[in-house]
Amino acid sequence: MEQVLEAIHLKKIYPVSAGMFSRSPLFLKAVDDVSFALEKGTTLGLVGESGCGKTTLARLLLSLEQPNDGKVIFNNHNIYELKGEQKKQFRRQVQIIFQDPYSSLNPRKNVGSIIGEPLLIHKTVPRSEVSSRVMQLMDLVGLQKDQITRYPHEFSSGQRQRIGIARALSLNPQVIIADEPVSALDVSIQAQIINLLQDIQNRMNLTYLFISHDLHVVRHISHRVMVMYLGKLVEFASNEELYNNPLHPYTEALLSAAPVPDPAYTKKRILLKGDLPTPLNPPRGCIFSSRCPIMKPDICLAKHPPLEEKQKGHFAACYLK
Amino acid sequence: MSSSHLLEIRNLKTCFYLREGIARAVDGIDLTIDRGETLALVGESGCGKSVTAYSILRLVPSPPGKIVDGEIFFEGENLLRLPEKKLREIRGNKISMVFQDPLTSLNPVFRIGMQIAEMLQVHRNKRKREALDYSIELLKDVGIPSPEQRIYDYPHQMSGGMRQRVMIAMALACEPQLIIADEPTTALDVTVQAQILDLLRHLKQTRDLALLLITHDLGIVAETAQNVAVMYAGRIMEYTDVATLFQSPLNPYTQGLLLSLPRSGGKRLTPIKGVVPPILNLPLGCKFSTRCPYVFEKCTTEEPALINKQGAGAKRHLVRCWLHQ
Repeated sequence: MEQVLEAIHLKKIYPVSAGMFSRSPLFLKAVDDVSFALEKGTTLGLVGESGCGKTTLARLLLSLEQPNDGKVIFNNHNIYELKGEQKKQFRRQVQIIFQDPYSSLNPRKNVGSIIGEPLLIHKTVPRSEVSSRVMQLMDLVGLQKDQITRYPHEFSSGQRQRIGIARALSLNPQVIIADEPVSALDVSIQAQIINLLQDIQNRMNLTYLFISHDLHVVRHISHRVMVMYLGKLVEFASNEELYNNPLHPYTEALLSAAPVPDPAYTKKRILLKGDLPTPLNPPRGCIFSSRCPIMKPDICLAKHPPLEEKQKGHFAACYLK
Repeated sequence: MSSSHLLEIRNLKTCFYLREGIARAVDGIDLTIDRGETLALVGESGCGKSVTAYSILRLVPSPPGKIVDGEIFFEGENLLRLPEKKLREIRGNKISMVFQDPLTSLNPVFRIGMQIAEMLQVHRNKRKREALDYSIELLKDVGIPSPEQRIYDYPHQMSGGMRQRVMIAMALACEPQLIIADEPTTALDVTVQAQILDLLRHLKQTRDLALLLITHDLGIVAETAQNVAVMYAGRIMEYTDVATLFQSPLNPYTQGLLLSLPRSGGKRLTPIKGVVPPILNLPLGCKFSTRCPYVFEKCTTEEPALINKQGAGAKRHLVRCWLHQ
C-alpha cells in the first residue's frame, strides 16, 4: 500500500490559564504522541468520545495548527516546514469536510461562489471556465446545475453537506479529512451522504480520514480504524479485526455501549464507571485506568502502556492483553 | 369519558401559526401508554415527535403554537381542558420531563440541590431542610457519587452525564407515574449514553414508571422500548411492539429507515431518496408519497388511514399505507 500522508509522533499541547492568581499554567495534552499513516485510496476511521482530540488531530493534519512536537510527511516533505508555493500546493491536496453544514457555508454567498472560490484563489482553472467546472462538481455530488445561483439557506441539511463536499473536491485533492460529516444529518439523509462519499472515493481514488463518534458508521465506511482516548491512540487495526476482536478494554466498552437496532440481539454490556476524566488532569499511569474494568493497580498505575503490535497489524496500548 | 390507560392521546392536532402559513406539526395523533410501559416515539427531525411531547403538558409556546384539536386523558382527566392551576399540579408532579440538553434546562445560578429541593417544596410542601435531605437520596438513586457534597455544586461544575443524572433526579423527585424523555442521551457520548439508558431501565423496573421516550436513534428504541410509534410529517405511520417493528415493518417509510442504517458487512446502503417535504407544503395524499419506492396513483390523491393489521402473534400492528388497506 502506498502511503499518502504520515503522522509521526504528533503532539499538541495547549496552555490553559489556571486562574488569575495562579503562576503556573496548566497544560492540556490534546494530541499526545500520535503516529499513523493514511494509505492511498482507503479510509481510515477515527473514533473517540468528545474531547479526546479527534478534531485537534484533524487541524494538525491540515496544518491549521502547529504541533509542539512531531511531524507530518506528505509528498516527502514535512508539512510544517513548507512555505510559499509549496504550502499552497499542499493546501490543494488536503481538504476538509466539516460537521455542521449550517455554519460552514457563508450565508451571503451563492452556491456558485462557495464552490468556485477555491478555484479562483488557487487559479487551477481559467476564470472563464470556473462556472462550468462548478456545474460539473455540482453534478458529481448530486446537486442540480440550475441551483448554482441559490443561497445556502434555500437548501436542506443534506444538500448543504453536498455543497461542502463539492467545495472540498473542487481542487482535485488527494486526501479528504471528514470531521463528523454525517453527525448532524437524519438517518435517511446520512445514508445518501455516506454512499456519495464512497462513490467519489472509488471514482477519484481519494484517501479519507473519517472522524466520527458513531461506531456503526465508521464500521461501514472504513478500511482501518483507530481509537483515541484523552489524546492518545489506544487501538489501531483493520476494520474487521477491531470490531470482531477488540483488544483494548476501552474499545470493548465502546463497542458494547453502542445501541444495536435489533431487539433480538443480546449482548454483554460493559458499563464503564464514571465520566471521561478531564484532559487537564489525566489519571496517572495508563490514561484509561480510572474507568478500566480490568485494571490491575500494580501494573497499570506506573506508566502509560506503549502502543504495541499485539497481533499482526493490530496495535493496542494495554499491558493486560 | 375516561380511559383505562395511564395516558391516552386522541386525535391531537397542534399547529404553529407562522407568517408564511399554518404549520401542522402534529396532525391527528392517537397514542396510549399504560402503567410501566415504555413507548418510543421515533422519527427524523421535524416530524412532530417533540411537539407531541410538549403538547401533553401544554408546553407548546403560544403564540405561535396552538393545540387546535384532540383530547389527552391522564388518569381520566382531559389535560387539555384543565385550568392552568390544576395542570401545574400535574406538571413535574405526576408527569415530569427530561430534556435533551441538561445545561440549558438547569438554572445556572442555583446549586443543584436547591433545584431538586424546589420541586419538593412546591409540590409536596416539604420544608427546605427536609427537601434537601431527600435530594441527597435522589442523587444517590441516580448514581451520583458523594451526593452530600454534590448538592452544593452549580450545574457548570458537573459533566454532561452528571447533569443528565441531575435532570433525572429532578424528574423523579415527586414520584411521577410518567416521565417524558425528549432525546435524553443525544447530547452525550456513547459510554455515558449507555450508563443513562441503563439507569432509566433500572428506575423503571424499581419504580413502576411509564416512560415516553422520544428519540431518532433506532438502536435506542430496540434496546429500551416495548412499543414504538414511527412518525413522519406530523402523523403516525406505524405503531406496534418493538419486536414486530424490527422483524416485519409494513410501512415503506419504516422499511426505508431500517435499510438506511449502516450494518456490518459493508454492503452499500439503501437510503430513502429525496428529502422530507417542507411542513408548509406537504403533498396531497400520503405524506410519504414523494419519497416512497412503491408509490402508485391512489397514494398521491388520497391519504390512507392508520389501520390495524394484526400480524401473526402481534397484538396490535397499526400501519398507514395504501399497500396494506
